[in-house]
Amino acid sequence: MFVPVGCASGILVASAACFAGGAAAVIAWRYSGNAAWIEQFFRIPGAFMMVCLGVARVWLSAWAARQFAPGEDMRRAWMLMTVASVCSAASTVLVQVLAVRSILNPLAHLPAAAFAQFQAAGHLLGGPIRFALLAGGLYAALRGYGRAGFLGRLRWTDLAVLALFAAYLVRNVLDLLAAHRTFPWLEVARWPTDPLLFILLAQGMLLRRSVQRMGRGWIGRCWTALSLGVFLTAAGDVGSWAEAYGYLPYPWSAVVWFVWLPAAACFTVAPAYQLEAIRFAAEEAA
Amino acid sequence: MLSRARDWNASQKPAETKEFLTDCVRPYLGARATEGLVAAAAPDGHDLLSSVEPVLAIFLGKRAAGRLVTRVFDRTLVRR
Repeated sequence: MFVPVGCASGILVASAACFAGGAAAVIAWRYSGNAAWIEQFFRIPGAFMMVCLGVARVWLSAWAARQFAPGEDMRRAWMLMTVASVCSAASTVLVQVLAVRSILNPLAHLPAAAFAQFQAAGHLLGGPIRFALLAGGLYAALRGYGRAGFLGRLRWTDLAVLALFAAYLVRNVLDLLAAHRTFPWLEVARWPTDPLLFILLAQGMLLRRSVQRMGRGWIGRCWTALSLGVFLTAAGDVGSWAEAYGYLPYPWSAVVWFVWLPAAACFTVAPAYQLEAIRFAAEEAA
Repeated sequence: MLSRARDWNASQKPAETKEFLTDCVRPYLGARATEGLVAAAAPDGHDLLSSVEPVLAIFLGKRAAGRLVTRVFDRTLVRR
């Protein structure tokens, strides 16, 4: 049983359509001055799309893992990324559905305190837990590239971006210390999120350089999509921080809201590309 | 199959065979990786598939890579 032909294209087209809908909602909001356009977009079609992408990612990643035999690097990579996808999907449901009063939420009658708990749990699952699993998955993938003899090397531009991100980490810690006097345990548990994102960013860059070293191919598309997903997630994280601490004024901060959809699409299309490459190999052999 | 393989071995043109194998593997691994593996293979290309298969297995899994390499080898024989 193979992934349907055009699965990856379908994911990209559906994500692009949702993104275009979001852009239309922004235009409607700017023209009418009614923020309900953008709010309703993110609460209903935006949230629904993110949940669909999350569920598809779990299914495709698990399917990709099953294509490899026990002990193979890519099986380990896809298994860890499957668990990361489960955390990501659960986080999306908690943060974007259960923590919001919308028609999608079956628990909308609960008090606001419950929503805050859902949100905190969702951020914990989708932050440090998911990123730690993803970093394990990318490490296994990079080990595969190393075994094949195609592990890339970071260039000075990559190191410059990593240095900037490290500076952002330091600034983030200073802002956090300045803004808060007490730290609830759920807040403290989320502290590893940004350091893990730094590791993921370095891994994503190394993965991109490794793909470049091999040249464009069906295998490379999968890992390029994953590294792009990591870059967009890092950009979204920095954007969210800039928005929260007033460095990115409204309405420019709206750009940040739209980063998460293409990031989710990249993470979802990556296992689809992996499965398509395996399908092409099997069809060529049939 | 064995007799065809022997006939093929006697009549093979290494450059042409290498080119055919390269064309089959390039879409998966990418041009640079394929060229690197071809360049590292013996001049007559006899070890090309055995050096390509482990690399394909890392990225596609042993099952898919094994099937693909077998098929490429069969097609190489059929072309002769």
